[in-house]
Amino acid sequence: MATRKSRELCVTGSRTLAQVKAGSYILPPFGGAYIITGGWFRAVGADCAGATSVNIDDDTPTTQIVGVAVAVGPLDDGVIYPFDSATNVTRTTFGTEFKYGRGLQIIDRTKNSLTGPDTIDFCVKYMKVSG
Amino acid sequence: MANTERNSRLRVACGSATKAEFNAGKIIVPPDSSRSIILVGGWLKATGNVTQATSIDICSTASSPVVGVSVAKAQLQGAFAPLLASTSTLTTVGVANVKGVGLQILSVGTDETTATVCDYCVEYMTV
Repeated sequence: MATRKSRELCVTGSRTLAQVKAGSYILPPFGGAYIITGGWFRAVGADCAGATSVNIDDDTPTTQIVGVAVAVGPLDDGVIYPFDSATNVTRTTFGTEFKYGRGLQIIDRTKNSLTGPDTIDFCVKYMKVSG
Repeated sequence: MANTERNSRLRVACGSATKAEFNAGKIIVPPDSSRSIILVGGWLKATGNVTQATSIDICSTASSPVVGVSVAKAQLQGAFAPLLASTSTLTTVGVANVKGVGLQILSVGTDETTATVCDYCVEYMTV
């Protein structure tokens, strides 16, 4: 992989359970590509259950490309779970770019089976690259 | 966290605080009257074991400091201590402080006399 140099950016926010189950943009598509460099999730209201993982994925129709997947096991109420944790996190497209023109979303990877929290807070550190 | 999305450049404040500095409180991100700070990550590393202080915190510079992250002395025994570790107490992380308030590194409890220095790296956004 070629070295990518860019300013590191960060987006923080919160999505409702319904939004996460359906998938919700956290970074919109633009002319270049995103690279995830770090971040964390925090469930608020109750522990996560019912689903396999909560992900940051791209918005490829039908088959989203996985960025980072955090198993629901450690996503307990009020606990910040970093993406660089040694366990329970699968970093698939992490430190490398997604396809150009793709946005990123927070999503219940098993599609509509997540239960528990009222909301999930997120912090995603990223870079934008182009050309 | 309020359902407010924040997207901005990630900033990092790294340095070292002597025991005199962190016992008294050392400002690591100065206040900006027009900006709020959101703490999102980082780490601490003490040189020497923290024995007297209960914890070393990253907290606001308000007259009554608002704790962002509190790292207990057990984690400050010369090792690298990520702020977001499960052993930390995460009080105000990912949430914007009020405008005009900075960040400081501050020991809690009895003044520390054993650990001589605490290195810090604090990741934050200003919004």
